[in-house]
Amino acid sequence: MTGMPEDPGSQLTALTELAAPATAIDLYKACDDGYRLRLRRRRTNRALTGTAAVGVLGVAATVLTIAHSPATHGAGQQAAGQLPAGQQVTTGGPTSPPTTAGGAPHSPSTAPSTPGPGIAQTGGVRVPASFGWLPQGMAFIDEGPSAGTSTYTAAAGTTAGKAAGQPRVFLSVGDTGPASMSSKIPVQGLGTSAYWVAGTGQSVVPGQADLIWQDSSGKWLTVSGDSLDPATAAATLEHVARTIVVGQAPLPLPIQIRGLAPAALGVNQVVLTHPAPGHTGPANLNIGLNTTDDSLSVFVEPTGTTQGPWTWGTSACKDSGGWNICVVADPRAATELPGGVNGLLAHIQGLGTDPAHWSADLFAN
Amino acid sequence: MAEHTPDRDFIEFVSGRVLWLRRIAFLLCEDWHHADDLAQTALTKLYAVWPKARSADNLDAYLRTILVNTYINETRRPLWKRLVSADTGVLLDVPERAPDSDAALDLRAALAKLPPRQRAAVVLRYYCDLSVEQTAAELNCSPGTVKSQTARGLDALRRILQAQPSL
Repeated sequence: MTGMPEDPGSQLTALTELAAPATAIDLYKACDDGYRLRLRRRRTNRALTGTAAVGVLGVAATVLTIAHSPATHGAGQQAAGQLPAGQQVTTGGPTSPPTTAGGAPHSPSTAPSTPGPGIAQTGGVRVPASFGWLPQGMAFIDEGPSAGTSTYTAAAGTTAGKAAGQPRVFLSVGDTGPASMSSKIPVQGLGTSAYWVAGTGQSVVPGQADLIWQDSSGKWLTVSGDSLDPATAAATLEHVARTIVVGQAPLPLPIQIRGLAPAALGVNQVVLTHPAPGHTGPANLNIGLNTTDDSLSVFVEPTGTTQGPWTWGTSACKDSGGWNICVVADPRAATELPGGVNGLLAHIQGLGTDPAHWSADLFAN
Repeated sequence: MAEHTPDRDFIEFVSGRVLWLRRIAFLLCEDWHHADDLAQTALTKLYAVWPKARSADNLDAYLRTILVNTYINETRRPLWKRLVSADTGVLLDVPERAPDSDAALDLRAALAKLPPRQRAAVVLRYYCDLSVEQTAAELNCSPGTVKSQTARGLDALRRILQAQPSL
């Protein structure tokens, strides 16, 4: 009979020192999967490479990661994008003027898990804030809502997807303020209280820290950057922040799901990558649809793009309205779809490559 | 599928921590293969937020918290509940014992019988050598809860170990 030792730590350590099988942990696979997870979760960074790829990987038990990288955009493709930035509406949620009022500083990374912006099944796809002015090199914007996250995040970058060392600017909108911070530096011209902040124990360096403020609706906004020129980063981000357009706004999409009731397909996530105002280039779209475990996605790239192959599920693709549209589902989700992936695909219609014809109403009769 | 070039600082950070992470995962789940899965998932999740997380005050704690939360979340899954209730499966993949491994194996079997949060509290307090407050932060609960979970966990381990014959 073995009793509990006086020193549990030693016994636990001994337990870990038993002979163990060779590890199957793969750092590079974690990077690859995590890179894709950034896209899926609409966290502060979106990781995309330059060639077509989508994948989902079962991690641990049944965690499913949906991956998508913008496919190689075919030469000669008509530019699709150039959405009007910062469209504002008067319905569908709290609104506030473009200018912002101040509040106490916060760090979005410390926001508790509260319901996020969600994705309206009726009333269209909306985003809580949009970029206004962006540095000249910022040619692409990633934006779109995710359900069940506490913080909405959009990003702008020089490429349609992250490229190592390329500058990026992030915009976050959340409901709660910071839990802790080390210090703050006030910022003028962004409401009564706006600050550069950093976490506890970190020094605050404008341009490298987060720029946060609270708008008049009570939302907390954060602007931050990555790989910006240190000499101008602070001024750049402050100007980006001052031109952020706050307020629920429709996000027009290049496809529409027709003839299906919204309730039949919950929408977990919409990620639209499109050219920033004043820029041209291909757009792409990733929609995460809910069955029971986020295992169903719709990927949209300009016609001529080769999407896939997907190693994790069943897929079907078609060209419609200037777009190559693919539905990808894991086998279980596919069986839940009437008609399988082809059945859903038949309901999806491309709306053309001219953003003027796009619609924020993802579902239509 | 295109290859992604991993962030160099991430690789540098985690490359020296894989075994550490795996061992914590093993203490939580009692299975080396499952520990690999848990650690792999934790690393994936960390990389997903790496652009922000890289500046965290305590990256070790950050990663460990991801691991523990992943483990606890998984225990809520029906499949996992079925797996842990299968007592016969717990020790099947144990490699050959080291000469002095009986006590450790007893503890392993006893740990497997603890509720997930009790087990996590014990592992964080006594293996990771965290304070009550640090453990509370990582488990997202109050220090009082950590104290009670730890006390109950240790008490349960004593009772289990005293009740079972040596393996």
